[in-house]
Amino acid sequence: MADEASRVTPPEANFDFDTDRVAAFLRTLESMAAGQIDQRLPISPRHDTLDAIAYAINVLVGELSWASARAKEAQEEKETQLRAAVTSAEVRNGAILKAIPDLMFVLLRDGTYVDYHARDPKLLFVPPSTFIGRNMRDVLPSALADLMMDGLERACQTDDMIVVEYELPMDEPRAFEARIVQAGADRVLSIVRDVTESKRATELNRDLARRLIVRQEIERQRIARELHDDVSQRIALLNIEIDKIATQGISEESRSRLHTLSAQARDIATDVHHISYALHPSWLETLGLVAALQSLCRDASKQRNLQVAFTHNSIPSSVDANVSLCLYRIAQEALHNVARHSQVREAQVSVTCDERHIALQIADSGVGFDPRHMRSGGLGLASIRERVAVLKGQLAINAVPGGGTQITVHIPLASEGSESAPPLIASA
Amino acid sequence: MQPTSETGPTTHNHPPTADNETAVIHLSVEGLVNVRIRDGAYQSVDDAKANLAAAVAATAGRRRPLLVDIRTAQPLDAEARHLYSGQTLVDGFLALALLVDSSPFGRMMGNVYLRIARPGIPTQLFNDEPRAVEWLMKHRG
Repeated sequence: MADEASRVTPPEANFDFDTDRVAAFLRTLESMAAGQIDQRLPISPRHDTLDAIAYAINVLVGELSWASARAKEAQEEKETQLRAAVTSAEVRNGAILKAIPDLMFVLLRDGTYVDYHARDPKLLFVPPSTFIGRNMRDVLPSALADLMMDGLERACQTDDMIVVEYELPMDEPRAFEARIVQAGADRVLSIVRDVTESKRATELNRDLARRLIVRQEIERQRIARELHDDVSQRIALLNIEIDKIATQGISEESRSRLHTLSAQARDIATDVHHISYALHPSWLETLGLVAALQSLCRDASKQRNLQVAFTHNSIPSSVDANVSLCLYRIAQEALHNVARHSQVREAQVSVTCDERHIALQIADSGVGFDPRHMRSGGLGLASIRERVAVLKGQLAINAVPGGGTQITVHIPLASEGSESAPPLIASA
Repeated sequence: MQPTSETGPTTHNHPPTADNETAVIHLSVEGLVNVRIRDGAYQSVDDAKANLAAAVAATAGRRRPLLVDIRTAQPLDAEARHLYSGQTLVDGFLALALLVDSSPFGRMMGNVYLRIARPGIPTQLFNDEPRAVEWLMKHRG
C-alpha cells in the first residue's frame, strides 16, 4: 500500500541559493502569511532544495485551502438542505394551519400572548393588535382570565393536555373549548375550538330525548289508567255477574264451570293490575321511592324467578318525582336485563343518598359483557343513558365478560338539578 | 514524452490510446497502463479528469497496474491531487508506480502524493523505470 518504503534514492541536498531567489521566496511567503493564501511560492526549473521547500509549503497551503473549501461546500450544502427542509415544513405547516378551523395561541407561562393563528379573524374576541404582547388578564374578562391562567399553569406542570371550557359574550354568547399543552420551556400552545353549534346540537338531542321520555310516560300513564279504570272494572263486573248466576238454580256441572270461569276472570284481573302497575307505578307517588323499589324487587322475584336483595340507606321521605321515576325505570330495565341475559337468578339492588346525590346500583354475578362491543341499537341501556343525561346525572356500567354486571347511577338531588332538569312527569 | 532510464525491463507500448493535452496514455504489451505527463505540463482539474478517464479507458474494463511518469510534470493543485487518488483509481487499477525525479523536489512531490493523497492501492515511488515496471509486473493479478 501507500505506506510501503519508497525506492527513490535520496539525493544530495543543495543549499546553494542566490540572494534574489531567496528574497523573492521570502516576500511571497510573507504575503501568504499576511492572508493572501491564493498565492504560491515560486518554483524554479532547477528543482533544488529551495524548490522542494517551496513545494512543501505550497502543498500545505493548498491542502488547507482545499479542506477549507470542501468544509465550506459541505456547510453550504447542509444549509441548503436545512433551508429546503424548513421551507418544506413551513409549506406543510401552512397547509395544516389553513385546514384547521381552530384558533391557536402561543402564550408565555405568565399569560402573555406571543403568537396566534386564526383562519377566520372574526372568531377572535378582540383584534390581534390588542392582545399580542399583552397578558390575558388585560384582555379577557377577569373570571375567564382566572380560569385560563389556572389551565395554563396546570399545563406547564404536566405532559398531559388540559381542557378548559368557557363562554364568551361575542355577538351572541358562544361556547369555546381550549386544549392547552406545553410547547417548550415556559410557554404553552392553546388550541381553541368554537363548540357553540356542537353544544346546541347536544342540547337539542337531550331535549328531544326528554320530550320522547315524557311522551312515553304520558302514554304509559294513560294506558295504565285505562287498564285500571276500565278494563279492571269491567272484569270485576263480569266476575260479579258470574258469581250471581252461580247462585241461581242451575246444575252442579254448570255451577262448577262458572266457578272455574270466575277464577280465570280473577287471574286476568290480577295480570291486568300488574301490567297497569308496571306501566305506571302509583306507589311512587303515594308511598315513595323506597316502597316502589321494594315492590319492584318483590315482583321481579315472583314473576321473573329472580332472588333480588334490596337495600336502602338514608333516602329522604320525599324525593323529587322526576328523580324517583327515573330511578324506578332504570331499576325496572336493569332487572329485566338481569332476568333476560345474566344467566343467574340472583341480583342486588341498593339505593343510597348523600347530601348532593341519590345513587342506585343494580348488580349481578352473571355472564357480563364487553361494554366495547355493546350494540348501539340496544334500547334498554340507551334508554337508561338518556334518562340519566336528562337529569344531568352520571352513569357507570362496570361489566366484564364472565365477571358480572354492575350499573351505578348518580342523580343530583332535586334541589340542585331542578333548575336545569325539565319535568319528566307531565300532568296528564 | 520524457525518455526513461533503461537499466532493466521497460514497457513496450501499443500505439497511444490517448494523446491528451497534458499526457500521453498507452497500454503496454505487458498489460500495464502508462501515463506519461508531458514535459513541464501543468494539469488543471479538467486535465486531470481527462487523463484519468483516458487511463481507465485504456484498461479495457480490467483492473491493471498503472505507471505514472511525473518526472518533468509541474506540481499538482490539491484538487487534482485528490482526484487522482479517489475511488476511480481504486476501481480501475491494481497498483501504482510513480516515476519521480531524483532531485529533492521530485522526491518531495512523490512523498507528498503518498502521504497526503494516500491512494487506496499499493503505491511506490521510483526514479528508475525498469525497477518500477518490475514491481508493477508483480501486481498484474
